[in-house]
Amino acid sequence: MGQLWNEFFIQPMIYASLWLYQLLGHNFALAITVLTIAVRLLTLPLTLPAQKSAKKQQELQPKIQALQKKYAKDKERQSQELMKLYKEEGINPMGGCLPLLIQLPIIMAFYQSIAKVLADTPLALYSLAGFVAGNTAMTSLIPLSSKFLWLNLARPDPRYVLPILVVFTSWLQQKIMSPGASTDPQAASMNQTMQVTMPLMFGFLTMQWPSGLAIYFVVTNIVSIIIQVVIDMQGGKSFRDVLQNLWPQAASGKRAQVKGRKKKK
Amino acid sequence: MKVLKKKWGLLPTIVIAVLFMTSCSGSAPSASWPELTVAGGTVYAALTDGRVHALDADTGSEKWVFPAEVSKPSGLLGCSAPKATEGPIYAAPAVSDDLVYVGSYNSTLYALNTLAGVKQWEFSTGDRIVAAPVVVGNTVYLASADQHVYALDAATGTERWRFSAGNWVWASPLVDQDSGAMYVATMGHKVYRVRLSDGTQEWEFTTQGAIAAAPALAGDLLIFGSFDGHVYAVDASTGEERWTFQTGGWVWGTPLAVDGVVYVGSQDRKVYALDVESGTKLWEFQANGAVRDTLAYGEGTLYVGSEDKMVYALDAQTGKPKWTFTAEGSILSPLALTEKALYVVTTNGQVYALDPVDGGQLWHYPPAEEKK
Repeated sequence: MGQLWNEFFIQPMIYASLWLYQLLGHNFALAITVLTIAVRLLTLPLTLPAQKSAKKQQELQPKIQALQKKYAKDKERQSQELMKLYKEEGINPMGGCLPLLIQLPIIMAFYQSIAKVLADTPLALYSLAGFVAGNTAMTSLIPLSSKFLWLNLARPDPRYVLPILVVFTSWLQQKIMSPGASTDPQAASMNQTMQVTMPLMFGFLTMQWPSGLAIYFVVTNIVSIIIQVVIDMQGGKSFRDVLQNLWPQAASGKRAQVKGRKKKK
Repeated sequence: MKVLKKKWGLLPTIVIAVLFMTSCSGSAPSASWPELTVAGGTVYAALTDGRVHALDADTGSEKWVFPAEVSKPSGLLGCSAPKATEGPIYAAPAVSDDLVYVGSYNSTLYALNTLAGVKQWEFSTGDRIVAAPVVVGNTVYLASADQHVYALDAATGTERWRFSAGNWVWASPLVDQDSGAMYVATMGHKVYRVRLSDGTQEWEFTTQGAIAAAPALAGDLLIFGSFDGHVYAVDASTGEERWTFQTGGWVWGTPLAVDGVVYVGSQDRKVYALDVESGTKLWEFQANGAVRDTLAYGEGTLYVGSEDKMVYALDAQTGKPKWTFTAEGSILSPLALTEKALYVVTTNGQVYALDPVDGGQLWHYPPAEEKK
């Protein structure tokens, strides 16, 4: 199983990253960025339905909650009505999961291949030999030049710029992709906690990981954000609406202020 | 009340963040492959705990350990790594007179006294030390991943000169006092010949792959392996290529030149015996795992350690196995051979003393009760 995984997922990713590294003037940061964008675009047919489905479910939240409230005491009827609603709206509640599951190995392989290629310890390099030893062109690129700006891509960012960027982009991505303010206070609180916890955890992990992986996280977050903004705008929202969704309280507060001023007048 | 509820909702986040920040900061030391050296009746084994263990070569009993104490894990969750030499050790210790020199992955060379393992001096380089230091006369030659080879006073650690190699140096320099030259192999695909007196470069030779192990001298030939899969023989005085031999994998070990034959291991799981003058293959032996820098020769027998956890004793003339020994872990580090025993260290930090004649186990470290 491990051998199949290495052969069909890790090795092609390693070759692709080394090929890009060669093509882009031996700049591995650039190679990671280009490959991340390429992988995200290639997996777009898999992620797009999931993101669209999630967004549609989000828009249906008021109707879903109304049904949940209406049939709170009759769980069987509740699920029947929910299924009916999904059918009417053309949503498969599990539709978002399968594409995400399919793309998971690709993302995992990409992540693992970056970690392997960035080998700067003897043991890590020894492990990389199993993937590239038969290819003279690839072998000649090793060890990679891991210098980029102030970074050694194989080691954590000493100035913590990348962990901060990972926290910010992860938070922004979660915020932009998560459902709007829930009417259920418990769900809202949970949502809020997740939106803070997850980016902080990613940021903390990035402090320990090679900065090359942090670059992958930042780029993949930015690509996700752009894709989501495009989906939202295709759904008829303006860019301003998308931004307002990020800070609904601030937006509603502003609206309230404006209304207050109007009343005074 | 609502505001309070919202704030309490953030509490788990804050708790988790604080615990992480206070408990697990700092990366754990990465793994290494242990290395050992035998000198003056003592085995100096740099093991996976980042410490040097001095063992009696006859019995395996422990004489001393450096550092003696390992600092306790810190942090609320106790998950920050214990500190030993502040890093793993990839380099085999070197011994001369009453000092043992240990290069650590924390960029520092430690000089300890052989009697008790007490630190006499230390020398810091700009990056990790992977190569074993080499002591010749009263000079320690130390290669570092900071792209330099340093010549240090063996007694005090004072720097005499340094040679800039332009890339990581993971291989020990080969010092040849007869010709007054030092040969430096680098991860930047090059081998340099450097004048021993002042560190001036005399020639360089480029291969298609990184060179991670020291070259060997066989008469007027300098022989070394490269990640491009080739074994190279070049004229030691001019740097001109004499012959090459291609293997099927990275060559990450110092070739062994004995009686007109060059023995070399490859990550293609094979050991090759080559004619030193022409590079013609005399025989090959197939192991079940990669063969790194793990060859030793004595009394017509070639000893080979492999990633497959096996030690093979081969007839040096024919490559036919005489005996085998199965260890508890992969063998990636050089074997040490004395008249009495063959010493082997595995990647999981087990040290074995074997009878060179039949492969019988003489002793094992750590002892069985300590392993528990």
